Amino acid sequence: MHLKYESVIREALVDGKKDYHQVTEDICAPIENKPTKLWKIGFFLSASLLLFGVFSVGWEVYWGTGVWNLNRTIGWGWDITNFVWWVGIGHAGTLISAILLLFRQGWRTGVNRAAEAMTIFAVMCAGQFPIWHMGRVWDAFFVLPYGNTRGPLWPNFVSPLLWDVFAISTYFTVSLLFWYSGLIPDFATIRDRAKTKFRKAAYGLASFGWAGSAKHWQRHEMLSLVLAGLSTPLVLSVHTIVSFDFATSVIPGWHTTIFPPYFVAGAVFSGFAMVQTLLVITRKVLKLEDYITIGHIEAMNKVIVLTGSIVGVAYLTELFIAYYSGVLWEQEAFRLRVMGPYWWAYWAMMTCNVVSPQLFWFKKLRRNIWFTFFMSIIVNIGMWFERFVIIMSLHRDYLPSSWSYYTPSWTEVGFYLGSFGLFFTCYFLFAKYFRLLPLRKSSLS
Amino acid sequence: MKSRNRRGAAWSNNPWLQEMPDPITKCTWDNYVIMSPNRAKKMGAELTDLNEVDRDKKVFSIKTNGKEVKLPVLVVPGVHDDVIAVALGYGRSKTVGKAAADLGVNVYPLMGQDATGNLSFYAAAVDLKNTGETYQLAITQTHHSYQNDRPIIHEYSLNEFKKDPNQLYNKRKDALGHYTSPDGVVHHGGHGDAGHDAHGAKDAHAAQDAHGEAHADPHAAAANATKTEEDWQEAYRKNGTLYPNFESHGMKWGMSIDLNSCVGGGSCTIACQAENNVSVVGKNQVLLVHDMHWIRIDRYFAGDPTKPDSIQTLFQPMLCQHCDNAPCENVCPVNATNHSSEGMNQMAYNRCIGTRYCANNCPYKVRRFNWRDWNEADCFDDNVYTDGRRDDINDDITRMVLNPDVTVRSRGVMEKCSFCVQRLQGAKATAKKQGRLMKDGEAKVACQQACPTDAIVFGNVNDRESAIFKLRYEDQKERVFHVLEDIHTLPNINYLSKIRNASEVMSRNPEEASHGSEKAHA
Repeated sequence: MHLKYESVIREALVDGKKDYHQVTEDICAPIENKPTKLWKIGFFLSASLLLFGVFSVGWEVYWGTGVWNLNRTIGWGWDITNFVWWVGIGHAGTLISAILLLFRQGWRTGVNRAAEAMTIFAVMCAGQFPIWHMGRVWDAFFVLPYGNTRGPLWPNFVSPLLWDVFAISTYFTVSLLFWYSGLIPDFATIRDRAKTKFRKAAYGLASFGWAGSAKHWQRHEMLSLVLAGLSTPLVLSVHTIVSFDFATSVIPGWHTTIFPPYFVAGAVFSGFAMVQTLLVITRKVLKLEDYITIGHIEAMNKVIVLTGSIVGVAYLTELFIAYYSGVLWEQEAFRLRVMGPYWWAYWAMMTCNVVSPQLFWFKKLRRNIWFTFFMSIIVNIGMWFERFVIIMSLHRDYLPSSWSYYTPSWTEVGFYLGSFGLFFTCYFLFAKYFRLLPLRKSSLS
Repeated sequence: MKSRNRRGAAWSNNPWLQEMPDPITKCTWDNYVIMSPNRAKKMGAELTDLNEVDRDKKVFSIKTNGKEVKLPVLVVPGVHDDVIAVALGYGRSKTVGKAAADLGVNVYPLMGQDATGNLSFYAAAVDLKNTGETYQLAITQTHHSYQNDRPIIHEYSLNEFKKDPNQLYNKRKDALGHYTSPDGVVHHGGHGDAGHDAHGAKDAHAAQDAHGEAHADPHAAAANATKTEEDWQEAYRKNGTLYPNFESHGMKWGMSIDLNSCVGGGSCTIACQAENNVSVVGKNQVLLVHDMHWIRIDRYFAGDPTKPDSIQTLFQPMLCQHCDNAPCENVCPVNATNHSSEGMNQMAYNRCIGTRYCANNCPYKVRRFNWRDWNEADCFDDNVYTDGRRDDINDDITRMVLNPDVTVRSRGVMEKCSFCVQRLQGAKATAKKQGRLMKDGEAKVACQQACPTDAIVFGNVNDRESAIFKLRYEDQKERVFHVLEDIHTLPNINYLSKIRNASEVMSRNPEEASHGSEKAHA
């Protein structure tokens, strides 16, 4: 009689009948070998984009925010759109790491390290936008509640922007700890296999003297669970608070109580899509098809169709409530969204976010790598448009005399491209020098 | 043809005037040809809802008296279908000065002579052609109707008003009169202690003691003020929000703007610009909607654009409303904009970090951001023009154009109407030095002073003897309204409704009008 039930239907989490040694060899290969040509090209492109972004931001800081095409009516545009978009993408990491860990979902091991790294990098990218969009960025520290001799003068604790400061920095800190503590055993393995002195010293420092004893493992497990427990509410709180930037305002189209759940679902939606994009590329580039299996990809696609549908329901609810409320401002705001000057953004959002993910109801499409890759891009385009559409509620609000229109300037586009540069530069460095797949977790499963 | 700047453009090199939007077209820094919507449609230059966001205007060629000029078209409802109009005084050479050089097109060559040999300001036979080219015009207002039912302006015909002067008052009461207190009892400002809640005694700060001599006790003034207001307004103020209600004892500045008197001339805009060192930004920046005026005049058309005779025009001066429950104040992460004990919304420029959230959240869109370094006032050198030009704003003589009582704002901070706080403080200080209370009318704001029709009345609302108090709570009570009152911003500026000497008000559709009068009868 079997003591342990083994599912016959479930696919193996690692393909190719590997033994433990082989797993270690495979996973350490990208670190210990010379970088591939593909890696070099990718890194070069990303670093170039990053430099272009630095130039664009430098230009903006020198000449003033006026080099962006924002105006007296539309005070936020691509800057805050990109901020919310990147924060949203940064959600899947914690969700995958923490919630799936708490629910003991074995398949997460294939994707969680990449997802956690993605979270860190996405939040780093997101943080750039609210900082550099300030008119006087050199005074950005005013938002911090530090002791000062001006009274003391505190920041405004009822401002949602201040809540953002706390929410994002908390989220970043916890995600960083979670990610780093997971990396420690892997750093130790690389340290032990190191052939050069420098490598040994560097990874030795990074692994905090990890010896792999039972006590170490036990503490490590405990820490992971505690951090997972801490991060789980953060998944909900961070984007809720970001949504307050809009929900607590008086602008029609912003002022709506549906935003917190709607933003969280949207964040998970776009975050999972971004993980897909990255995984599909990295499993190919780093030849990790046996570890990031089609089963993992399918599971992720299921989450995408679920959250995409939640977001779709939210869009329809907004329209219905605008109609049903009888409030002139709401009705006008949503009429203008659908049929106003920004109709194309609204319909891009509807197509990408609501209509196209429904194709994932077909198993064949869920398991198709190319289609998954295509869809992951589409979803993130759609989610970008969602934030753009919401922020552009500003273009026509209460007084028709102030109605306006906005298209970005090259510096704004450059800033956005630069954030991609930052993201992928970090990601390439991570894939080369850190562990893309958790050694231990893969081995154990 | 009209002469945009008086005396044939003698003042055309004054950038204040160049950037002052034309009262009707709202265009700056250029001349253009205006024509009716019907004619524009016929000639392929019509204005639609979607292309109004497009600054590219069609260029037309105008031939008359054997000369030809090319000018961009602006479509203005109310112009006769067979009339086009252009402004003189543009297309000047560089010798006129920096501001006016090379702006627009000189149309003097089009002028003929009449029988007596004088210049003729009109020409009967004009050959008009759409050239297919486009030209960008810097217009500060691109949407021209206030969309019938938006409660931002209230206007009535004289007959409607005579029939029931309280129509507007009742309409407001219908909309906002149901805000009873949480225990279901309407607050009675006059009877109970509703006039002074938690902040009462502590706040008495001897507050300039400037309300009339009769009121030694500031509380009495506040209570009296609310007594004359109807109960529902107090109830709405207190119960229309979750947040505590802050009373201004002592001083409370208020302004009233009479839409009946306003002729839209815009001297308020220039007066404010002169008083408060408001920057001129130039055509390219106006094209980016970076204009800085603290007080602007919104101009709306009502009526059928295809019938020039049906057009009614309305001017609404718009400036910071100094809301008592200001949406801008609570969203600033660094407390750079806050409320004074005298009811003013004020900016602390050196605290502002420029997140622009306040401007986004302002329902009146009156906040102005220093997008660029207009005054060479920030710590970066030579960043006024991207093309490397240098300005002389920092030389000693040029700087004397600025009002020394008002801070010059650096790049990256928000600014907006301050109710000329420097003048208010000055008037209070003068009175204090002389050991007396400030009298009504001693503190005047720049826009009020410049208004040729006295449409703007300003003063201490807590002073029962003040002109603003009498106007708002006694003389013109039935015409008072606040813009966007329903979102509970509690503005300290009120408007007086427009009473038109016309048979009907075009902005209102007929059924709504009858609905309104039904209510009034009920």
